[in-house]
Amino acid sequence: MLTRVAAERYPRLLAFAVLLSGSRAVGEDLVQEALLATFTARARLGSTDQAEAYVRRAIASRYVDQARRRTKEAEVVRLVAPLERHTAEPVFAPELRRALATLPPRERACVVLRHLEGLSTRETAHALDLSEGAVKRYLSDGLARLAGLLGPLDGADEQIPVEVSRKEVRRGR
Amino acid sequence: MAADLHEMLESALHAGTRELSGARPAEGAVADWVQTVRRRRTARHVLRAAVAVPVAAGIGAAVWFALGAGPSEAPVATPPPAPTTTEAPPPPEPSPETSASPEVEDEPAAADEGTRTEVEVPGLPPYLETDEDVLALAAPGWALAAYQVADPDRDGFAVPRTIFLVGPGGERFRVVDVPEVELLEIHYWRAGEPRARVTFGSYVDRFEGTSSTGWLDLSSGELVADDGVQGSFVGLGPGGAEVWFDAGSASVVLVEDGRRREVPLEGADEGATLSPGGTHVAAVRPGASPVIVVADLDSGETTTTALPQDRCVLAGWLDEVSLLVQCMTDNEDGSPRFTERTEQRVTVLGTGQGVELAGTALADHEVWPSGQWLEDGAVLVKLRERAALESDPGLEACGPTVGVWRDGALVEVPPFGPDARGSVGAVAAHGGLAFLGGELRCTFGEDPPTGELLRLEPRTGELVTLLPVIEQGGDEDEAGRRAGLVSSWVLAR
Repeated sequence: MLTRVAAERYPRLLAFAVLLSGSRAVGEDLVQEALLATFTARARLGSTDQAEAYVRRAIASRYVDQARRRTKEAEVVRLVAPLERHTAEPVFAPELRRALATLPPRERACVVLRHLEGLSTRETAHALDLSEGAVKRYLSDGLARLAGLLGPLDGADEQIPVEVSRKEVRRGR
Repeated sequence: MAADLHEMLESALHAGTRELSGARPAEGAVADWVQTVRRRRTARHVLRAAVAVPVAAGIGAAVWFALGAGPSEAPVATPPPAPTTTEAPPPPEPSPETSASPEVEDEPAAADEGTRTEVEVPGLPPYLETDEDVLALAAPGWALAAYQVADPDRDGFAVPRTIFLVGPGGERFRVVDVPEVELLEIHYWRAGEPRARVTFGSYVDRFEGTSSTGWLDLSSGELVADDGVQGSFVGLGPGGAEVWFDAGSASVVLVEDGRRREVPLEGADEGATLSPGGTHVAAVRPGASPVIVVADLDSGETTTTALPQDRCVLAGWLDEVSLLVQCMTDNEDGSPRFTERTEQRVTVLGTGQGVELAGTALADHEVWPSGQWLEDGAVLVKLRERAALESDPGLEACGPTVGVWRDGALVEVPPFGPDARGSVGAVAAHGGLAFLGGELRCTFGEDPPTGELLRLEPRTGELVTLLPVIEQGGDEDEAGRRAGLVSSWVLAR
């Protein structure tokens, strides 16, 4: 399954990691670490899609872990806003990625897991090893900051449900 | 109006996936990851056993399932189910459902479907059984196709398993079943010959570049490797020589009777395409001043033609001396990045060498490389309408559909496949007939797959299914990976 996921989903996993971290180099490291962590921890994954979902959560949690561990300012800057400093970086969705790059790592990870992956606040808290209250605060701050940069956002002032599945979030859009 | 953040993020992810579609782990990385996971998991099991829990005897099997091991480690596959003949065979089901059937050239005179029995096997499309030599039924323009089926010994995932022979009129015959292999790409087959040129291997091989090039015996299903050729297969050149393209060295390698000859393409490493007569290969050398480099495969001489904009894509050959090319302006970090799409007729050989505007039919489309010459002045162009890409962000990751560009006019194929999001992989043409392979690319989550073999009516855009997709149950999220579909095909020479 690991080889299958790596063969078929690597570009999408890397795009997810780049969207989150803002950097291809950081993204490649995150994908590798997340693949190793996911397949070491789980003896059997039911499907490639399921495996990809786990790897994506692992990417987000490792991204936040890295930010926690790094104390040097330069390294934090590398994690937060590397877009303008790497000419060979991917160029997709520049406006959205610049806006995301202004968010601190935990805010960014919460926004991505909640609003891209469709995780509930409880699931997001579990994935990132945060309290549910902290997730709500990060979401509130992060969405407000994004709305200031991107304009009004649907869902930015939503009453966040505690338990909502991915599909329910999508169908409710 | 407020923007939907989920849609914005999802659209960005699709765009990123597409931009990074060529990204791969470093060479050898996947094998290292597999080893690392095995080490870590063994260590975890040992640790748990030391604490309290007995080690289960089934670790090996669990690891195999989790890691997707290669063929040498895999359990023996269950052979496909035996054919069951229907009691009262109806008229041949595989015939296309259209009244706009073109004149089919090279139809074998011996074909007599009235004496053949239709066979239905679970997981396979219905086909005709015959006592005749199946391969002898074929003529140039017939398709040889590898069909994948779900493999219970691979956790239900689909692998190439059965080779079909399909006539342009839709008649299907089962040729042979292939042994355990995860990847099988057919490069060419000469009608009636007992073997086909293929590349085969495992998922790991695809990553590591260790797939084997060789021959598929169409009687026994045996795969025999020979000296591999680095690169991708382009077609058959002068005298029937195999033409391969190595993007790494930007050169063409010709192989004939075991002898190899290399033709450098002066740095051109994008979109290598063979001329209709098989005498020349064209490719783009990108850069600040992009050019088309054309190599004469007989003499090895090259000619270059300057292109008029920042980035150009070879849509396909228009005739033996000119190509249809879409060019665009690169706005660096802008969004959209590429604008001012123009279509150019680029004459690369002969006295009229140069570039001229060829029309405006593609101005609102994004063109993919690897289109196909249909007949002089007409090209099967891989494309998507820009408006569709912008209104449905998911299409960004789905790949192209196709249209017929003829003398400045475009006939588009209507949307096909599930949710009208079908995308096209290989295209081919013979005798004015066009053929498309639906591609398993746009299968995210609940989307069912494409992966059928289709015939295209070039004048109307109508599609006729020659080999269909067959859903095979299982998780809805797994529909694409568990489905029976065409994984590789070629038209017989």
